[in-house]
Amino acid sequence: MITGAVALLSTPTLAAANCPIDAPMAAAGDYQLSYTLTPALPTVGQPFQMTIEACGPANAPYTGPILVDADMPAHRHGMNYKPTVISTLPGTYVAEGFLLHMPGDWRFKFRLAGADGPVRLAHGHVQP
Amino acid sequence: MIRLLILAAAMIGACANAPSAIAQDVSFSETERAAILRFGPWPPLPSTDASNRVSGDEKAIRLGLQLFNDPRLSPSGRVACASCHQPEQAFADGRPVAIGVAKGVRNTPSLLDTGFSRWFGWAGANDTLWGASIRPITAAAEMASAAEHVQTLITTDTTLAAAFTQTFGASAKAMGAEPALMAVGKALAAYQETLISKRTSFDQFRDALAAGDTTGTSKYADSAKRGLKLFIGEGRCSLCHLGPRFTNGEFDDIGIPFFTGPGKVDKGRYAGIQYFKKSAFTRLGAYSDDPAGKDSPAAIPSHHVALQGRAFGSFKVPSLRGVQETAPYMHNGTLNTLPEVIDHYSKMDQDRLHIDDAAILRPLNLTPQQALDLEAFLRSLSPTK
Repeated sequence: MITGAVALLSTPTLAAANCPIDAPMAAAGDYQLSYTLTPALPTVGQPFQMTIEACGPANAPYTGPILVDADMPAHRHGMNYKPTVISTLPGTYVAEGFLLHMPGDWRFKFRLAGADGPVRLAHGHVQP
Repeated sequence: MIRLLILAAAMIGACANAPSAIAQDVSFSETERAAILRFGPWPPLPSTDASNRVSGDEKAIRLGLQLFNDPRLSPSGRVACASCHQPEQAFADGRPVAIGVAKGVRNTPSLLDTGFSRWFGWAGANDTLWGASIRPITAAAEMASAAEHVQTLITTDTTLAAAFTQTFGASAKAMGAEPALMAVGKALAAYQETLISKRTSFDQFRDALAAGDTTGTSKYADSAKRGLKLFIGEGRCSLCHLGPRFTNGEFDDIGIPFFTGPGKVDKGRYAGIQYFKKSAFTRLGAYSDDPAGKDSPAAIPSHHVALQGRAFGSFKVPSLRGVQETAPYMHNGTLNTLPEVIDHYSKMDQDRLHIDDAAILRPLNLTPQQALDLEAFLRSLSPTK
C-alpha cells in the first residue's frame, strides 16, 4: 500500500555538467559540485533521487567515481540505506536510494577520486 | 500564531504537589502548527499494493479473513493468525511475548494500519505484507507450518479450495506448494490491508486546527494539548514518531535490553535485514506482481537497505495510533503500561543504549504533570470507546 508514496519519483532531465559551476554547493581545491533533488522537497521517510553536476581540474566535467551518503552530524548517525550512483553524461550523475528518516539537519557527503587521493565534499540540508 | 487558551483543570489546594490552578495559555507557533498538521489527515486515501495482484480484491479479502481465523494452517491445529492477532485486542494479544506453538521472544504487534508499512515486524524482515504473512506460518515458534501442509489444507477443504480457485484462477494443487503458500500470504495481506484504525479525538483536533475552527480545537482535552506540545517540542518524540501513523517506519535503539536468555540475543533489525536478503517473498523476487518488477519505485528502499552495525539491537519504531489498546509495550513487552513507557523515556539510562555513536535520546526528566500530559496525548491517539 505504499506504492503511491514513491510514484512521483522520475528520471530528471539530464545534461552534461556545465563547468565551472557558477555557484557550487560544495567545493574543495579543483573540485566543485552542485545537486538537485527529485522531488525538490523530499518527504521525511520517503525515497528520493539526487542529480549531481561535478567539475574537476581545468574546469572540465569530473568523470571519475562518486560515492554519496548522508548523515545527521548532531545525532551522529547516517541513513539506513546506501545510495547507488550512475554516471549519465560527462560530469553528471544520478544517485538513487536516499531516504532521510528524521526531520532536522542533514549533510550530504560526496567522495570523489582526486588525482592525489579522495576528495571529500559536503553540503547541508534541512529536512522539514 | 495560533493561540489556544487553556484553563488548567487542577483544583486549588487539592494537593501540595499538584500544579496550581492557573490559567495556562498554551499557544502553538506556526512551526508547531505545521508539525501537528503533518500527523494527518486520517485515514489516508485508499491504495493498493502493486506487488500483490489481489490487493483490494473482495474475493481475496474474504478468503484472507477465513484463513486468518483458521487454526488448521498450523499442523498442530491450534494456532491461527488470530490466536495472537486478536481482533478484540486491536489485533495484538495483550501478552508480553507471543505464544504460538512455543513461546516467542517478541511482543505481538497490532495489525491495525499495517498495510501502510514499508517494513513489517519488529525487525522489518519483510518488505511486503504478504511476505510478512507467510513468515509466521512457517516460523518454528509460531505456526510451525510448511508450504506442503498449507497446500494440502487448501486442496482438501472444498470451501477453501473453491474460494482459492475463484480468487487466483488456479487451484493450489495446480499451482504448486510454494506458489500456493505465496498466494495464501497475498490473500491474508488483502484482508489485513482493510484493518485501519478509527479516527480519534486527536484527529478531530488536528482537522479543526487545519480549518481554523477554534470551537473544534477547544474540545480537545487541555492536558492532551500540553502533551502534544511536549511531544513535538522538547520531548523530541516526533523525530521518529512522525506522519499520520506516528512512525517514520524505520528502526532504532531506545535502550530496551535485547537479551532473550542466557547467551541469547535478539539482533533485531540486523537479523531482519539478513532474513530479508535471503527471502524469496519480497518486492525484488519473482513472486512480486508489480508490473515494474524490481525497478518499481516502491522497491527502491528494498534495493538500497544497508546491513550496518547500528541495526544490531534496533527495532521498529511502532505506530502510536491505538497505542492505548496495545499494552504491554516495546519489542519484548517488558513495559506494562503507558506510564511505564513514559517513565522509561523520562529516566533513560543512556549507558544502556546499544548504539555507541548515535546521540538522539536523552532523559526527558519530566515533571509529574508533564508525564500526565504526555500520557493524555498518547491516549488521545486511540478511538474513544
